[in-house]
Amino acid sequence: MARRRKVSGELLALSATAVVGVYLAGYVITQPAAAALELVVPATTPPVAAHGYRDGTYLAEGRSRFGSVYVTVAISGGRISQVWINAVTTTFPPQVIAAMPGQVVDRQTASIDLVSGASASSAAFIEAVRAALAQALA
Amino acid sequence: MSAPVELRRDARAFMDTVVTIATARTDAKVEAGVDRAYRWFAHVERACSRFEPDSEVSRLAHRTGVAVPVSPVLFQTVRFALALARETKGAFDPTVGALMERRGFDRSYRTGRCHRSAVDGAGRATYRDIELDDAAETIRLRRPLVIDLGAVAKGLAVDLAAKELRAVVRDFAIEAGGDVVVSGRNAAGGLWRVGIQHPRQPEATIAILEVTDTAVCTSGDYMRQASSQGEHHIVDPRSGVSPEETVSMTVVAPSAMLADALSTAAFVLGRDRGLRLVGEHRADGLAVSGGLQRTATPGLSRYLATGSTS
Repeated sequence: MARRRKVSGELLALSATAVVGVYLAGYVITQPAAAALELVVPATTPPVAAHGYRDGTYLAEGRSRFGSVYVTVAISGGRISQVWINAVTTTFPPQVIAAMPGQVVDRQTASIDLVSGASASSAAFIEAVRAALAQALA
Repeated sequence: MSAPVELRRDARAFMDTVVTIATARTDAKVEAGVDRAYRWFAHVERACSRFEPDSEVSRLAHRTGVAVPVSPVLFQTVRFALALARETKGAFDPTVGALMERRGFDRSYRTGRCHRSAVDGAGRATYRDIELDDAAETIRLRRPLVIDLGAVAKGLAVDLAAKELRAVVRDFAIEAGGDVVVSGRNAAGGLWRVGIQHPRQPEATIAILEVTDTAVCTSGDYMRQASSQGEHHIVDPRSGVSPEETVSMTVVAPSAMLADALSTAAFVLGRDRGLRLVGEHRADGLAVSGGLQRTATPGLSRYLATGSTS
């Protein structure tokens, strides 16, 4: 039975969510603000595909005045195959930007609409996706 | 060639293993960061160790049928473990805890004390008996079971420690019972050389990987032996016995949590299916068979140090 070869970034995204989530939860006790998520990116450099992005899974943080949004972006075949929100520390609930990862995948770009009423969160989200995509170009 | 510069290095015992942290330089800020890094191991252990009767996960074992609010550490660790269990259709299963107890893995290596949960290990609990509510961060067990988070929790603690250290120093290495995270450069200014334990010769390595800014984890059949012959600390949750095809499985991945989980699951799946699983996560793997044959994903060769192939 020939199953299609799949490439998954879900577990890596979940592990990033765990580290950021636990770290921030523990951090609240001792420090007022969250430190930047430093990234463990794969030491590998897969070939650049047609769209210019290297295949891989990239983690990044976007900051706003009200807190940060952490995302993981998976590139497969040079395209943005999936975007996960790992953690949101803004004062807005994470649901306000829940639709944005799907928009990034649909449009293949971080240039998406801001969410009305949650511009800080969505700006932080977009910045995080841009930072992740910058890593994918590096 | 040996490193000309001494690393700052010390070790402490956590999570039934020894945790070593090495940094290329030190000052008061780095020392404080190292202290905070070690503290994450204690923090994760309090939530996730099934060897500690007072840990959050031990207390959860008998609270069947109710949605129990749990700490972020326990929730995130279980969530990750269940995702891997679903993906491997149970070749990795965090509900093997009671089975492990029955097989004699019931003693805390740190305290030497035995802890058994009195949950029947012969029961047919699987990962499907754990329900999570993502919004409320609660865990509900459908039947009494013992969650074993060993592989995943240790990986999470190493990742948290690494995150803590990155805030204060660029060049460091963390090792905790087979889980390694390296960052920046070693004391000689080069890539970190991570030895893979030889499965049959205690003082030898079977390969040396030259890596940085990544995690490396090895699951081997030699780490902890149960009292019964031929049985070790990794069990196939589907059959209840230790797999024998592979004696050691190493994974290189971006996070220790992923590396440890994949190496454990791949060990159970065996060489071919195991390495395929590793590749699907864009990680690299090295399997060693009982005859000491080495098989690796195509990407692993770029990490292999010359002279480490014999």
